[in-house]
Parts: sequence; structure tokens; C-alpha cells
Amino acid sequence: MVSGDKIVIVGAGPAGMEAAITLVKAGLRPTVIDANARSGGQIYRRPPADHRRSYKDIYGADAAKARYLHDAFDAIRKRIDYRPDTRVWAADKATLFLDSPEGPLALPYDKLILCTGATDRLFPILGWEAPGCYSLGGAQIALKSQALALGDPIGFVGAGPLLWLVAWQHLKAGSEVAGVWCTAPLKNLFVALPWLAARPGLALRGLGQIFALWRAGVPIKYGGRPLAVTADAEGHVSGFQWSNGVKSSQTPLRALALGWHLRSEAQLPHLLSVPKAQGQNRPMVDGLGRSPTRGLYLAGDGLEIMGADAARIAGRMAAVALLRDTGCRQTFVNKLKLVSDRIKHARMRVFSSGLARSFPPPEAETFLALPETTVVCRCENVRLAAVRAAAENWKCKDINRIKALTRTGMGRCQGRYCSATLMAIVAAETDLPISDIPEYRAQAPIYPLEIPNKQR
Amino acid sequence: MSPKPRAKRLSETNRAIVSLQIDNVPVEALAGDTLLTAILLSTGQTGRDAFNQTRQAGFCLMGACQSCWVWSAAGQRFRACDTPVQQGLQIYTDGERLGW
Ligand SMILES: Cc1cc2nc3c(=O)[nH]c(=O)nc-3n(C[C@H](O)[C@H](O)[C@H](O)COP(=O)(O)OP(=O)(O)OC[C@H]3O[C@@H](n4cnc5c(N)ncnc54)[C@H](O)[C@@H]3O)c2cc1C
Ligand code: FES
Repeated sequence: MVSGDKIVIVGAGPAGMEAAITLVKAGLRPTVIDANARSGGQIYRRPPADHRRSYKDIYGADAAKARYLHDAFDAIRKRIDYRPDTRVWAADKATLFLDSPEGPLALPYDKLILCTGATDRLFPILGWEAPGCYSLGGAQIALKSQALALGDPIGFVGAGPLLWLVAWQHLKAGSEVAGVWCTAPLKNLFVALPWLAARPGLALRGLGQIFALWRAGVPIKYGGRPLAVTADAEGHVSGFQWSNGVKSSQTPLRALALGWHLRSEAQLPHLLSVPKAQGQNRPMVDGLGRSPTRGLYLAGDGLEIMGADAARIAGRMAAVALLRDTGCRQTFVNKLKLVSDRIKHARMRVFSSGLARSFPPPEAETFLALPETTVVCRCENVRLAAVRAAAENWKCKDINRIKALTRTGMGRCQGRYCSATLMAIVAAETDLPISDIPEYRAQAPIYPLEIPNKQR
Repeated sequence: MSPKPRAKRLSETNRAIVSLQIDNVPVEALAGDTLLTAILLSTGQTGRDAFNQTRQAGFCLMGACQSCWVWSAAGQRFRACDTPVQQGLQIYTDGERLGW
């Protein structure tokens, strides 16, 4: 039954690991490509081998799940072609272009499962280009994989489950937390309760983190607006200013982590011309993650931000879709498992829509009130004034044109950390819903490539 | 004189010591540190922002923002956030200034 198709999975987070495990069980030998040195993806990221903390210390309540996935993936290592430390920087219909420890490689494929995960969704604050500002995910990585607090004390600003989780993880690890500033109003959390109730355990865990921070005396602010990040004589972050609408406050701190939930890493489906799902900012797929492009499947946070448990299920479902398309017969047990996976996944989608309701991005007024000198694109140092000028009184609603005129999104991060901002600014200025604003077109290379010295 | 570090180790301090040089300054790190960890705990800053010439100190720590570039003596570029420290390594944070 095993076909000779060359199957490649991009990403070794929960979605990609689970897809690989499912394919190996069916007797296939996929190639798994991952940018990280060790498997696990974001949530189950493994520290370097010299670290000795226990699973419980690193992953908390998720320790058992982390251990299961690491062990299950390690167990299939010899039955897959696993390529860590390797990045896919471009793709066409039959080839992936890799930046690997052995140098540049072109890898042909017949079937592709993209499990590329997510990065932080960021919005700008006046002064956030100062050293000492980090993404929320970055602060968590420092803690999980390096046992390091990026600043002492460190503050957290944004909105989303990760804001509370990461602040709480710092508190628990013994770091001083200067404050947590959530831009979403507290009432949202209660309004969203019917959706959050789809996963009561998880909802309670989140509320417990907020409660624990409050009980520890960490200053917590809800429903206001960040004003500015201030810097010391060396230019390094030294404080954070916040407005609750009536009065403003200033808090000294030595690092600030920012994040408003996550955004999918969706450059590869864009490069492969997968159309957008109707009315949504995500690629079009069927219920199992099959895209309209033959042989291309998507799963996990790279498709839709739904968290680790949903990413695992999605990885499994995408693998099942691939197996079906290769003509593999499913056993009765597997069919039952698929039905249960579909039901669980649907319930998780209800929960994640509750999270989106609880923690929306800042309101249009926040973007309208941004000072003209705010840096919107960190890499190319483009300030809001330049974006406003390029948009010519907002007759221009295409952020790609603004990009061409101002160089936003053309720098080292390839638009990862300014695309949400540009869309939000244009939406705010034109009074259009964000879903009507086109995203940046993805361009290869999706990561900057180094041309070795000797080839120059 | 380099500014004093802002970051702080919270645990796992019993790892083997690794000596390296950052911008010709001798620095002690621990096995399993990334170059960025070693930098943040010593000299405190990575490369210079190309526009304002202000220093940077990493941002995403996951290989996505590329604001943590450092260079070897031979001019090879690394991301400090996903490159482990090695005994005797010499790295430079100002490669663009040095003409690389
Ligand atoms: C920094 C960060 C921290 C998070 N922490 C938590 C947490 O503590 N708890 C929680 O519930 N959720 C957390 N999340 C949400 C998390 O994304 C999901 O819960 C889960 O990890 C999603 O699994 P995934 O398999 O879809 O993607 P990921 O786990 O993100 O895995 C994707 C993998 O693909 C790799 N990759 C992406 N693009 C390429 C490419 N072009 N070439 C090669 N490899 C590539 C990445 O390096 C990564 O290893 C976090 C997200 C981020 C960004
Ligand atoms: S800190 Fe973002 S790539 Fe290293």
C-alpha cells in the first residue's frame, strides 16, 4: 500500500510531530524539516541538552503532554528523514528550497504538510525600538530554554492568553514582575464566557494565572492604552507609560515584553498560491486541512491560531487526508478516531473564538492616537508619519503599495512584526474591517539568507 | 566600559563554565547558553540598528526578527539567539561596521 511519493512535513511542533507519527504508523517515511535545533515547536520547545530542569519545571501543567510528544517523536527518529536546523526559505509546486547546515539545498516533493506555527502579533508603542523591548514569545523562550529573565524587573503588555501565562511563568520562576498591562477591557472576558466554557479546565487555568498574579501583588491594569516606552541615557528601556483613559502612569522596569496574541506563519501557502478562505484571513482548506492545491495540506497554528492540543489533532487529520489521497485504506478504529478528532477540534475552535473575543487587538482609537514619530517597522525604521504620507489621505488601502513606497515590511523580519500594524492602521483610518485589508504579499526568501564570504 | 546587564539567571546555574570573547572582551558563560544569553549577561548588546546607530539586544529569540546578528572573526554571520556558546569562540557584534 505504501506509495513512492516523497512526503515532506515542514515544522516539528505539535502539529508536524503528530502528522509524522501518524504517517509512520501507516508505513510511510516522511521528511521532517524544522528551523529549530530540537523538536517540540514553540510550546514544547526543548532547552539545550546541558539544561537539567524537570519537565514539570519547564512545562508546568503541560509536562505530561510535552513528554509524551517528545518521546513519541524520538521513537520514530530512525523511521523518518529528520532535518533540524533547516529552514524552508522558498517553495514552488514541486520543490522546497532549504537553508541547511550543509548549505543551500533544493528538495523535491510530491506531497507537503505545512505545520509552520505562529509568531507573536505585535503592535507598536512609541519608543519600542529601544533595546530591552522583546516579544512576549521571546520572553517565554528565554525563560523556558535559558532559565533567564530578560530584565529584572520585567513588564508585560498586550492582550491574549500568552500575556497572562508568560507573566505568571516569570512570577513562578522567581523573577520580579513590574506589571501586566492588558489593552483589552476586563468585561470582554465575561462576555466571552459562553465560548470559553467549551474548555472549562483551560479557562479556569487562565483565570487562575490572573488571580495568582494579583494575589502576589503584581500591578495589573486592564482596558487602557500604552503611551510610551522610555529609555535611559544608554538608550536602553527604563520605563513604561500607560493611560487608563483618565490619567497616565509611569512604571520603571528593565525590560518590556509585548504581544497581542499570535499570527500564523503563512508565507509558504501564499508562495504556493493557496487562495484565502472566504471572509477570513487564512488559507482555504477543507475540514481535514486539505488545500485546493493538489498534494498540499496545512495544520496547526500556521493555519489557524487554536493552540497546541488543536494543533496535534490538526496534524493527525492532515496526515489522514494525505493517506486517503494516496489510496491508503483506513481501519474501522482509525475512522472512529477521526470522528472523535473532528468533534474535539470543533469544540476547540469554539474556545479559541472565545479567546479572540476576550483579547481583541487594540481599538481603532489606539492607532489613531499613535504619535507620528512612532516606529511602525522596526527593521527599516519607518515611522508612522511616513506611512501616513504614503497613504495619501488614505485613498490607498493596499499595504503592499505603502510597503513599496516606504519600505515597511522589507527588512530583516520580512514583515512578520509590522504586517498586523499596517493592516490595523489602514483599517482604523479608513473605517474598514481588518478582513477587508489585504495582507503583505509573501516574497521569497522568507528569511534573509547569508551569502558566505568566499562567494562574494 | 560596557553597561551592566539587565537580564538575570533564575536557575540552572550549576552548568559547566565556557569562556569566550565578545568584541574582544573575555566573557564567561555556561554550557547550554545561547550567544544572546552570554551577551545579555555581559556586554548587554548585539549589533547596531542600521538607521539610528543605536544598539540592539535581540527581540523575538526565535530566529524570526533577525535583530541579533553577530559575526565570527572570519566574518560569518550568526543569529545570537539560536547559536550555542562554544569554548574559545570569538564573536563581534558590530559586523556591519567592520565591513562584513
Ligand atoms: C513563542 C511562542 C510561545 C508559545 N507558548 C505557548 C504556551 O506556552 N502555551 C500554549 O498553549 N501555546 C503557546 N504558544 C502557541 C503555540 O503556537 C501553539 O500552542 C503550538 O505550539 C502550535 O503548534 P504548531 O505545531 O502549529 O506550531 P509550532 O509549535 O509553532 O511549530 C512550528 C515549527 O515550525 C518551524 N518552522 C516554521 N516555519 C518554518 C520554515 N519556513 N522552515 C523550517 N521550519 C519552520 C518552527 O521553527 C517551529 O519549530 C506559543 C507560541 C509562540 C509563538
Ligand atoms: S532575537 Fe529575533 S532572530 Fe534572534
